Amino acid sequence: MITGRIVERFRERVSEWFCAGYLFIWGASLLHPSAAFSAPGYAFFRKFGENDVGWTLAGIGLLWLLGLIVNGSRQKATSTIRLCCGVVGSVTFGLFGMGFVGSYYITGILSAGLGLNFLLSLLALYCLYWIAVDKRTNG
Amino acid sequence: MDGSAGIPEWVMWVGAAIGSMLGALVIRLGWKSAGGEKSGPSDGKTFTLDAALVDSGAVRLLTAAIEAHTMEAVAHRSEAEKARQIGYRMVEAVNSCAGEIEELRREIGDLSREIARSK
Repeated sequence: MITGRIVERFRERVSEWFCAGYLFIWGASLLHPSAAFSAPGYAFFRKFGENDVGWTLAGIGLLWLLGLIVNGSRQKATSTIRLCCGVVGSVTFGLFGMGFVGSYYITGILSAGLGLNFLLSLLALYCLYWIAVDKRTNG
Repeated sequence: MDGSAGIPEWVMWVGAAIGSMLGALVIRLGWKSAGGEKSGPSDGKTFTLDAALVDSGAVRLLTAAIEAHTMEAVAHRSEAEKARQIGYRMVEAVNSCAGEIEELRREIGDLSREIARSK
């Protein structure tokens, strides 16, 4: 029954699932022992530490995913978590976009992550609008 | 470009602040769009109630209709009270007539007995 409700609401929350999943997978990839930040596109992020950034992103993504899973079956339970994760996710994607701009200034190599992260930030803002509508309507 | 610090840290902080404010603005927009306008605009003539728009003219018409209906109901009640009183008086009059007839019957009986005795 819980899975049925999640599947039913998945259609209207697919972009939110995507943002949460992307954050989690990206964070988990950075936690892999390989030195992802050695790539030129990540030059700006090296000072923050790959492990710290990885844990932060994976943590936000996982919390957002949990919020979606629980909120899919219990409408009124975790909408606030989804709302907070939406704000944090949107800001994170925007900051990553800016970070890729910083990397460009350091290395002179333009990464595809620049445009992608700004677009994801807009997508997260769009999700945020509908989370607010959902919270107001259903609690 | 190698060797530079990229973009200054304060730019990131400003970006985070602008992003948070944008997020708050989007939440407010979503919140308001779902709940409708709860308070009336400054002109005081119209207000929205969920999805329905109610203007002051419609409210005035409704008030006048309710007032007319109330007046009509009061007039009906007064008429009904008068009819009830008339009916009560009629029943009283019929009862009185029945008593009178009963008395006449008794007197006729007495008279007929007296006539029979005198013969």
